[in-house]
Amino acid sequence: MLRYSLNNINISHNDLLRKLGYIKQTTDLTNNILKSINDVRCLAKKLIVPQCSLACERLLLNKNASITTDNGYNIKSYDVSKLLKDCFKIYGIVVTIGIHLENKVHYFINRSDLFHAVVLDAAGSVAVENVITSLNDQIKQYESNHNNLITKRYSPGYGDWLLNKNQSLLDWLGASKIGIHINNSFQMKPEKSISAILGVAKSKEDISNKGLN
Amino acid sequence: MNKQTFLSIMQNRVLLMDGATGTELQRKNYLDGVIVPEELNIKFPERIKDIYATYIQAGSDIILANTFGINPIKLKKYQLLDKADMMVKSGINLIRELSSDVIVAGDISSLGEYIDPLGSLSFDEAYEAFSFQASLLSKYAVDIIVIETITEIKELKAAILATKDNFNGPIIAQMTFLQDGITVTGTNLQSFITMAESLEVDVLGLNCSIGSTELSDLIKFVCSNTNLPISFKPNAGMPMLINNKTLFPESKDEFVESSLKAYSYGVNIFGGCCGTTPAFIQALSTQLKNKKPIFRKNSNKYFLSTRTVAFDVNCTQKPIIIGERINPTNRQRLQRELYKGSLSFAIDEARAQVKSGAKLLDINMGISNVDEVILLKNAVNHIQEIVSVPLCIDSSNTNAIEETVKNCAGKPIINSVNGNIDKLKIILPIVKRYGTMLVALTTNEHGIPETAERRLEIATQIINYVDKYNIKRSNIIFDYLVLAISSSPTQSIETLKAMELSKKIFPECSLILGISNISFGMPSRQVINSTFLKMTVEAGLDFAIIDPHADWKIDNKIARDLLLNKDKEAMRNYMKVFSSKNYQQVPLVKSTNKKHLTYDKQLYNAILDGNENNNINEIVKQIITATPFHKNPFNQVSSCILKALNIVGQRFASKQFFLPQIIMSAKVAQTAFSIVKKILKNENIKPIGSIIIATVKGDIHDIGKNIVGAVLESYGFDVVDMGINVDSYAIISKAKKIKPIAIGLSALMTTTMPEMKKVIHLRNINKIPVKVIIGGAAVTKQYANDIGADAYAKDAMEAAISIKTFIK
Repeated sequence: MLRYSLNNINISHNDLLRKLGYIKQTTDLTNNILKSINDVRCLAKKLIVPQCSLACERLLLNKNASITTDNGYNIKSYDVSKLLKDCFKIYGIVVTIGIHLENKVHYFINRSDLFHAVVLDAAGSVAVENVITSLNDQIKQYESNHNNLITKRYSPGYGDWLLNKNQSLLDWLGASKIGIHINNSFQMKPEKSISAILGVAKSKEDISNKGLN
Repeated sequence: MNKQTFLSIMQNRVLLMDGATGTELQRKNYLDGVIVPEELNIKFPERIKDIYATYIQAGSDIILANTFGINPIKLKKYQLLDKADMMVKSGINLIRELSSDVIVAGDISSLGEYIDPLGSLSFDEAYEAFSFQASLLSKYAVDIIVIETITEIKELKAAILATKDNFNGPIIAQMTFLQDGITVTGTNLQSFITMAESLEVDVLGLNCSIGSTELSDLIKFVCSNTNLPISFKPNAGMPMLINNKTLFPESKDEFVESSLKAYSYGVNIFGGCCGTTPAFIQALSTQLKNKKPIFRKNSNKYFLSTRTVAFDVNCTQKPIIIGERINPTNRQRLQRELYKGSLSFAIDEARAQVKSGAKLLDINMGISNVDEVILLKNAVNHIQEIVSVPLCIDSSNTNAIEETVKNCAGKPIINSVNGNIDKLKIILPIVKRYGTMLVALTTNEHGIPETAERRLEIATQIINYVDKYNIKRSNIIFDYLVLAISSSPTQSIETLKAMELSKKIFPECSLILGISNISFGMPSRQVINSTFLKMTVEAGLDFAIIDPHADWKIDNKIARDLLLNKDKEAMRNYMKVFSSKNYQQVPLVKSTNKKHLTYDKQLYNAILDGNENNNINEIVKQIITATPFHKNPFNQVSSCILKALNIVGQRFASKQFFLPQIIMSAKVAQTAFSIVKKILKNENIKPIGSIIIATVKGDIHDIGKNIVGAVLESYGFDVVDMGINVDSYAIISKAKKIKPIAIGLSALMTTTMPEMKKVIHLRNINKIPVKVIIGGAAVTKQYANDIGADAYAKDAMEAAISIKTFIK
């Protein structure tokens, strides 16, 4: 069984600058701004609590452009079916960095401190992306050890897999156990949460999908 | 149970706590029908009683009552606050019904929200919440209280203080750590130990965290760094939520093996956290029940701490440098900044001093006509999150000291008290309560005594009071004070003598000195300062309050002769050699030549640099004053602002600037506009017009909209921000009322974008002559065209430029 770990989630300075729109060759960066951004980055590191929920089941590809898992989780989507067409297994993942960073962003907004709000929000985005990338890498490594390959990540809202299907994905994953909920507009709370699926194909010979790696 | 009884039990045998409650409740499906687990105490008491009973059967000596989350902050969210008393009462009594032998522990844990500056709770709010819980636990007579699963050091501090204030029995304080021995909020093990020891808990320990295997490595460190009894209550590994089931990777055998390791290090109390079961505790009981604890060597370390680190005063190279520069006395720029409410210069000073080798920072905010209580607290709150060195809270205002020390995320030094008895009676209780160190000046209401012996008499008097208040002498740092050599040539000898005597008479106490007074009125002051520092270290100095940027390598024989008042020629010799030399340091901050720039140019530069530190108020005033009578002063200022903003916009478009710079520039421009409007009131100001901005219904994202708002305000528009998740009818109704130039709509997601169309439709059928501009992550120009929006903006600068075209 996969044993994952979400320790050592970093928010690198360069990632944060990039997220804020910094381009190395063109953007002028004063020491003043650099220091302030770094202070917020340090604050962000104290405010993230990475958590995830994961499901992994065997997969049945249906004829009507839909997939079903062992326990009956179903996705009706042409694009998802296409992504998973060579796969025998599906992972569902949802990650979050918790509510503390978000609370602090709103605290800054309420004090009209937009600089800190924006940079902290960006740091949260970097952090949650790093959490899902880390989990993705661990799954990839695990499956690779079993001579399997995984597809790229795919999330509700991509292609014809509509965002309103996120609730059923989260239900499948038991996301509420780590405090992730969804509102009427299908936005996740905490906001810095990402949900996705990954397909697993048996061996290199079985692959015809370029999304596999 | 009184503390002594509990401690004597622990001297004879190790104690076993219970295992997990929460995950056991989940495993047995006992959480059905309740909103929070604590509700079981009154709604389904047989369920929680069953959990208690299984742990008692398994061999637990201590059972934690199901009171983990009974704090008002959590309960209010679920409208259960009125049930708190009943839940606590039942949670405790159910254990008593099962056994009269077990130790009943009240359980206190995290509030779910962080304290300022990490969160928005004030320290006092957190303290009140914990007091509420502790007082109920005390009311229903728990034997001990366990504070557990805390990840934030200020929260731990609030919880311990509140528990101590409401409960007389033993207190166990436990924090939760990651693999590298750091909590999620950055506190390391030593910093935790320092805080728990300073606040005088009875037992400290680690719980939950990373599984017993990894946690046993961390507990080894704890065992060799504290003399207090230690508890160890790990979870069964980091939980993994896989296929809707929470899995804990550790086995019972691994848990027992790690606990036995912890036993060998000298741990006194054992138990399990999330994922452990009665079987784990039973297996542990088989191995450890009634065993005598392993003797631990005394730790002779003495720490000061911050949120993130702690350092051993005894093992740090002497003198320990305390940076003195965050003190507005005679520092015009710092004063100016503080009067403006800006801490950025103080923060820069903090960084720079640490870079120059300061191991602590003295923070003094004593300026007239400012509320020092608020200013000092804010300064410490900010600085302690920027630099990782302990702080020296420097004030003569006891309210400011107490409020600041309370909010300190570590163990600070209070600077200072003297031999004045009334003052001692106010300050010593603060030292005792918050476990700080204290600088004690050997002076009193009669001034500084001339002789070393008289200064030691005051020190003795202070120590008597310190003992009376049951404060550890090691928390006291004596300052034997130094007078200027220019006016009191023999005084340096008295200071050195007093220091040497003090080390013999009060060996537990440290020594501190502000060095630079010695050279007051003398040329080449740094030669004297540095040489004197060397002499004081030889006399036993532990802490030196100095400017860390200065050159402290100088040790000059002529200066030594002068300081030792060697002969009548000493002063003459010094003056002969040094009166023409100057060892002044290079100023930290380069002076700018802004005085040579016109005020228009200064404002232009401030906006371009996003530099709020310039005195915008003064600059704007000067522009208004200098405006020729036939010109409109508002136009003069605004044209300068807009000129700068145009350049900011161009640089943003060419990626030379990025988002944070836009925000900073916009803020300076906003400030300038608000100042000019305030000064001119309504005279000569032709309003540009108002803009409504809103995030559409169903959408809760507000940052992008707020950036647009800030940039529009920086262009002088009156922005009416209707917030997030705003109903389309409300937007139209507002537009009818205030007749804005435009409505700016933001949506982040495809699912909420149709609301934009609705707003435009409502505008059209209501025939409101207002433009609608839209933007947001998922919005495109094409979509704007499709729904009939008047403009699309991909960012805030584009929004401002578009809206400017609406008014032409």
